[in-house]
Amino acid sequence: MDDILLLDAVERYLRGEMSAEERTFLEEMRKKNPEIDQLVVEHTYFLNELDQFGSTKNFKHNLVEVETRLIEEGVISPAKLKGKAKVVYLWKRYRRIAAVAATIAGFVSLITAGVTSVYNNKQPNSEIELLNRKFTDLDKKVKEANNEIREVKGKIDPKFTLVSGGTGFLIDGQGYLITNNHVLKGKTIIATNDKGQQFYAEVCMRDDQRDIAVLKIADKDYVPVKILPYGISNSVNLAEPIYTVGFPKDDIVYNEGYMSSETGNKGDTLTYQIAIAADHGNSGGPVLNKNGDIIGILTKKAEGNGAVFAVKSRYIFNVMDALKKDTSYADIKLNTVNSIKNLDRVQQVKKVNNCVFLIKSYQ
Amino acid sequence: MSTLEEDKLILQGLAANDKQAIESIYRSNYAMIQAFILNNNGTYDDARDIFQEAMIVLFDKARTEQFELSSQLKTYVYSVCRRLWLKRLNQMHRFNGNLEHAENTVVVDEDMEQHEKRNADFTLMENAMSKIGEPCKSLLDAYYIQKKHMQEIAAEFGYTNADNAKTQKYKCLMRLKKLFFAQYKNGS
Repeated sequence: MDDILLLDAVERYLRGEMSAEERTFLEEMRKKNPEIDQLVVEHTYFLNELDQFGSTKNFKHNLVEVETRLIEEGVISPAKLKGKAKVVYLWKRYRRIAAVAATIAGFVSLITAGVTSVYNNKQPNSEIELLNRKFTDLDKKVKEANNEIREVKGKIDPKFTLVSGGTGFLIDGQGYLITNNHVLKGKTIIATNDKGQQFYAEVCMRDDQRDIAVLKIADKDYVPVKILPYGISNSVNLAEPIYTVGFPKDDIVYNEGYMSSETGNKGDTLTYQIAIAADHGNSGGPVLNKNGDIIGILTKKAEGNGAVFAVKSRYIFNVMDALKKDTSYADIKLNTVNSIKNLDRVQQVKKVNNCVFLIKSYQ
Repeated sequence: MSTLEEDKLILQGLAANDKQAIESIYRSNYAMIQAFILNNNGTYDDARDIFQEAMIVLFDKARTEQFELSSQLKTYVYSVCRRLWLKRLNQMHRFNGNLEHAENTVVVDEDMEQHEKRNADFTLMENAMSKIGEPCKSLLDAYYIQKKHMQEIAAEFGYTNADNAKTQKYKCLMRLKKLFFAQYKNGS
């Protein structure tokens, strides 16, 4: 106990909180007692170290904060991927383009070879031109035919009627989508991606209380997405910027806003209150934070004040746990690794769009 | 206001850990440093690292009482970054012997030495802090780093009164001190 008093005294002494009387007393003690003197010196040194540590830590904290803001503003260039990761990244990014380019290159060289051998020096130019024109004509016709096919394909059997709709997003690249339960009022469900491709989807699970439903795209045309860009995160901060992408109309729409409250309507703990422009079709869409992590599912709009609510992302985990008890769904894997954190918003949204679907439900 | 006076104001802000001061140093120097690092075998990441470290050097220096800048802030920042980068290159064996021509730099040897010692001390304290465990860590953090009052801390941590919190704080501090000086003696 004496030690506590002594150290307390030393701290007050160092901070200059002692009265003149106390000061003299302590200084007297130091002179008389070398042990106390040693203790004061040692403690002074240690407290200085601690103080130095504290202020450096606070400073580092501020540094990172300022840096982050400046990166967002574009004053500092964000980290670029480097080494192997970059090659892999570029390969993934341009794989399709490379494939198309290779095919075209192959095609062109074949045609050139063919054309050269057939028309080698004997044929007059006019015939080549004629052939060329026919070829262009044919190409145009093929395109028209393709368009017609697409149109026919796009038409749903007229005996079905649209009963509800909204937005959904992938949580597993194999084709598992999350949306709101209230989006799925009908029996037949069609999910359309941002390129307009349509897929049949089946309901795996509904949770009416939390208004979450899990869909599985059950369509042979669906190409699985290997890596989802966003992770799912539970942590939110009041006032942090958020954004959403969804289908309030047939084309994808981006909107941004901020986190207003950690509870929903009348203190409802299932949802967050957010401030964002949203319409009916946004229901079931992802709410992302500035890093591109999903923090909620946009759910509904309050009558009157226009407040928007989003189901907390943690319930996605809950619903998944429940779903996984069914062994046929045991292989679903939620993506928690975010690969778009360092991209700017435009690039983030480009990646997120690939994983967001227009959901329509028909009766 | 002359550049010198402006620099002085910024450094005062920096010493007080003011975000605006930090930002203004970034704004007026970062592009130059990034260009320098990129031109000399470095990446965008390296540029950010080096600049951060230079900011810490500057912060430490600004806080010492007898501090006086002998050159323009810009020159000083450049000199420190150049020195830090040279060291980093040497460590990575990437240095090919010709760093971009150094005109307009000042000698920063002493500051670098200081900085390295401080850096080592910081790591020692960080290690010691990470070893004392909870609630000691949060308790000491609240008192010595966030500089909260004992009453406030007692309430926050659920102690019935400030004296109990104080006793606990004392025990924690002793443990931290022991760990810190133990490492010190080991000469790590």
